[in-house]
Amino acid sequence: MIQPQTHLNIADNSGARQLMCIQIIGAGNRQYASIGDIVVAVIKEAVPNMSLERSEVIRAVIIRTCKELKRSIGMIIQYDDNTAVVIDQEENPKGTQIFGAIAWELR
Amino acid sequence: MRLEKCWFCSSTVYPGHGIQFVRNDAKIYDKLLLQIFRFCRSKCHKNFKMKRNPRKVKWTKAYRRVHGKDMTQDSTFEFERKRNRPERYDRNLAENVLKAIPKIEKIRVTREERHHKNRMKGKKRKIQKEATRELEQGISLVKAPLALQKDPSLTLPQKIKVSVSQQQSEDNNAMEE
Repeated sequence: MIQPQTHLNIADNSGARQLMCIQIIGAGNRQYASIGDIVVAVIKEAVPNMSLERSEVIRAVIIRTCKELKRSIGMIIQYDDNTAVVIDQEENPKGTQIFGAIAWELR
Repeated sequence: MRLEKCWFCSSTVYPGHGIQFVRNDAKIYDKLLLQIFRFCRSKCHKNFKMKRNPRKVKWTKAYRRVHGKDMTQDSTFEFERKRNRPERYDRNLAENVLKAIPKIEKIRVTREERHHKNRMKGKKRKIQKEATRELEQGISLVKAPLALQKDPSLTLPQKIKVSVSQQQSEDNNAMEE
């Protein structure tokens, strides 16, 4: 349940540390983003001397949420934090490594 | 499809039930440890969120094992161990396993019952002793002491010892013959 102003951790090595969500892409009136949704976010905290800088507006895909992910087979998965991975306009990840667990919805 | 055990109460989690919680235990960015906690129902999940230790919560299997209420070590548990390598399908093997499962279950249940019986061994005598003591002390709650004195049949029957002499038994044997 990610909405604007939500802080997201980063799970790749693109250079950002923390993002703040600004907008959910393709949402319309939809309030919340969940796993697999792309959001527009601004970088709040960045690793120094890397390609991404603080207060840069980028796109990210959400990979982990504290809100449960319900699958049609009845499985419910809940993560410990809200995490995203930085993406570019063609939906390719910007970093080269992704850390932590990823649900198979994101294949 | 795999039947998991609930992390908190150790009951089986069937597909479509329960909730899984994935925790990133990483403090350092490059080293990543994952823990998946599976819960069979919200009761266990909520207890986990309260940070309760299952070894201290009385209705869990973990508590019962730690405090010796249930069997901990038995050869029947070996059959149910988690195996990470999938077995190649073999019809005979599958058939034998399906036949063996209820047998092993039966053995395990009888052993657990025996364990329980051993645990409860001295209990019956203790209960009886306590009951007689309570009767002796508290009979005044039921009947006034004056009434008891008047009517002796209301007191507890005294144990009467009947000693059988050797002579009698010999006579009885003679009669049987």
